[in-house]
Amino acid sequence: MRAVMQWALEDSGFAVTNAGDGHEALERIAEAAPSLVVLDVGLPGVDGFGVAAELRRTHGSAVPIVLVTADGGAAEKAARVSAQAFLRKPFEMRLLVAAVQRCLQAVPGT
Amino acid sequence: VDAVLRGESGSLRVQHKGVDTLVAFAPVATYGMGVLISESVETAFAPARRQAWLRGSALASLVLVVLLLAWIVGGRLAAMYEDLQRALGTRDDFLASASHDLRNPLSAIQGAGETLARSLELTGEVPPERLQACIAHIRSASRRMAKLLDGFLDVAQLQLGRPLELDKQRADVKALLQGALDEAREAAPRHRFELETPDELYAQIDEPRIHRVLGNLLGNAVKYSPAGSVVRVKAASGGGNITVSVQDNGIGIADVDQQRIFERFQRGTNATGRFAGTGIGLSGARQVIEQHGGRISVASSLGHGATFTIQFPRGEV
Repeated sequence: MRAVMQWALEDSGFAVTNAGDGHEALERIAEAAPSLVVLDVGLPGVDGFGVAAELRRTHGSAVPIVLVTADGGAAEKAARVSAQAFLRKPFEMRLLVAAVQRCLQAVPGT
Repeated sequence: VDAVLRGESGSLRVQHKGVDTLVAFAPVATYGMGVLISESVETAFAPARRQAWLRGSALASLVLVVLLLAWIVGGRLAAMYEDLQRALGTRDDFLASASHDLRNPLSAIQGAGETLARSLELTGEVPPERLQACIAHIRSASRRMAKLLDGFLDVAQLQLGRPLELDKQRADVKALLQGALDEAREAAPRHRFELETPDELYAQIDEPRIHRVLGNLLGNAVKYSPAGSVVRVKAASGGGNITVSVQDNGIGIADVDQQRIFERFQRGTNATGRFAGTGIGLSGARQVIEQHGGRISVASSLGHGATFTIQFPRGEV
């Protein structure tokens, strides 16, 4: 699933790195200083909320989050981590790309 | 006496020798005499009092019986209502987590399909590594969905009180264990898995179902233990039985939960709300193992991991 999302974003011209769990995600975020993070709630280890909380602690609200979840209550979950957009599985990749583009346009200075 | 002799009639209540007494008197004119009856109040009213008491106690008993019935029926109804609420609640929880479980593989299949279509659109061809990855995604996701659905169907059978239709065949248990561990490794690359098994291990079993039981135990071991920790699987044969244990270093299971977790829709107190799950995995595992004539058990203490052990007859191999 990660690879599929990565390809969809790369095909649209984004540079993407991916992580398989919450710990790895936090490492990648620290290394790559991303412009945006696409985050699955159901990550093993540190879950999506944990990663979002850490991201908000270190980067404030400078890095937009697109939340991906298979659970109900996606909107409420997105609000909990101040995510700029959310997608409920299963979703079409063009919606992911659109959400990422919209969030990046909304960030001042990008 | 004076009054009755005067030809009067009437009744009195007097204190006679310290006793509360009723007196009634009347003249018998034709004979020039009178009649006077006296009786202590207590004796006079005894029959009436007895009757009143009987009537009163009968009424009281009736009221008591009615109240008791109301209490029993009311309590039963309340309990039934609670049961119903709980059943509806667990059904809703089950539906929510079942649809959650299906969404993940479905999402992978949809994504892989879209990737292939988009690659063809963009360049007229699909790079081989993408093609391979998409095929792998689709295959593993559909396997996952099929397994989930098999599990749901078994749950439905159990709910209807029907036994599973086991299809027992001679199976290579060692290969089965290795296969289940390979899948677990693929799903949880940050965990370490160790397998200890005799070289030759065969049994008469319903292989797909035992595979699902192993998958469930391994999945739980991974889910409830930290990344990087070891999941140890040991298999042994003896006394006509095969024993497989799966040991993790996870959050453990409280004593009070250790029986409950094998019941349908029941989960450990320390798992509910923190880890996703339907509460059907272990009840399904128990059902499969018991219908093989075996048993499943757990040894654990809170915070110190858990070891699940399944034992089932080897059968004629």
